[in-house]
Amino acid sequence: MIVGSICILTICYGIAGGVRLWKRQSKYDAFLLFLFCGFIAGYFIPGIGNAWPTVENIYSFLYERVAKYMFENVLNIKLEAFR
Amino acid sequence: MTSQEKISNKQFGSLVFSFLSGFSTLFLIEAKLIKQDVWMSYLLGITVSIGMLWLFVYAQKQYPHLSMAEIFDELLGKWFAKLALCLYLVYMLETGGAAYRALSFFYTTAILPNTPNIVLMFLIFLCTAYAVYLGLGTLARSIQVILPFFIVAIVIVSFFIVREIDTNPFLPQFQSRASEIVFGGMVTLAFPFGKAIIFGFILSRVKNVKKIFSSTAIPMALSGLYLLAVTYMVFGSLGFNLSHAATFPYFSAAQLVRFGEYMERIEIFVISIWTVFTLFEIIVIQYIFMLVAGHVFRIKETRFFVFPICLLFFAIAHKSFIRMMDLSLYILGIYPISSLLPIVIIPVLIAFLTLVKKPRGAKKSVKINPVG
Repeated sequence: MIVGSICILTICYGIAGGVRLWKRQSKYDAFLLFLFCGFIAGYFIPGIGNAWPTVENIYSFLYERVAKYMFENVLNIKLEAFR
Repeated sequence: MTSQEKISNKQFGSLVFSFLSGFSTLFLIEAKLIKQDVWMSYLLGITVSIGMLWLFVYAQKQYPHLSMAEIFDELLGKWFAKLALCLYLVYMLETGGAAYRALSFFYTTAILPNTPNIVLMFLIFLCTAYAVYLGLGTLARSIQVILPFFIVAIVIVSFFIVREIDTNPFLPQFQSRASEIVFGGMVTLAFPFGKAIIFGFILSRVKNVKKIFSSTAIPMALSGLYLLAVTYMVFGSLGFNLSHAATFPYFSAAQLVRFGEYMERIEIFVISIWTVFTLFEIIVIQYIFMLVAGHVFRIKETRFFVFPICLLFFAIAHKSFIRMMDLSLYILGIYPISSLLPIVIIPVLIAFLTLVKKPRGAKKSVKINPVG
């Protein structure tokens, strides 16, 4: 329920803020705000939210092998994180 | 929200200290690994992070009229600067998400076990979003009011815990291999001391540019001293095995304290210190994120973006580090490597380019305003 409410709140804020910025002739900011709020709302949509990128997922994918090599081969430290 | 409000050097120093002393003492991960030789890792981490921040200070002094994001533009060119700044944005999301989770994990584990994590994180979001909306000046003034109370609280807690210590827990020394010390140093550099690198983006908002380095380095050293003192007290009162087994060792050490029949539950001081300092940390990260994002995406009306930016941090925290073990393993395994780019490599590059290139921006500004 909280997640659903936050999702709706985000979309509403994006639309309301976007319209207000559009009326102030800040069309680029309005577009950006709308896009940004849509992206954030995606995190709270059931099902889709789990597929949305997080820093933990991306960095674990990018750095895990480098970190494992650095710690296990260069520094010779066995970490539970890589098991 | 006053976007260009300047803060004094003392306010800046207080902000740095509270930022670094937040949840640094929560898990004491590196201390659990390196044990009595952890002071060497702390020393390594503090020295490198002060050195890296000095590089940003050096660049700022060469371009006193530009903000750090503008200095990036000047030195790296438009597109490379955007790329580098985006790396800082991701780094701030990573650090902010971890801080959100650490605070909510602490509350759900030790104090409010039946409250869902999302409720606590939502409360953190509401509180921090309002603080970010109020701006840097308000934040700096409020930390000046709160900090003395917390110094008193730290002294009281330390006084009671020190009474429990019989022998020096840091003896015998030099029991760890050099590689273990280096590893501990890398962890300490990433978390907590290297985080201070994001203060580079508000250096231009400090009144006295000449004294910026001392107002950054002294609080960083004091924060290191605080972390070292906490580690000493935790090891001294709990011992290595119990410290390793405890999820929140400092909290467990404070729980042991009793003063006669009347004074107990002194750990409430520790809870308040962690809560307020971690909130300040999240607020500062979100505020600097807003400044950098405003520059990267050329946002004119940043006021409208406060709410969604803080919501992004909340969303990232909600979807990351689902279990406490995930957070601990990430801080140990991935964070020391992923943070090298924003903490070490980019500052070194910026300082090198500052040294090589002429500070044209500064000259231009002098021509525009010859009186200044």
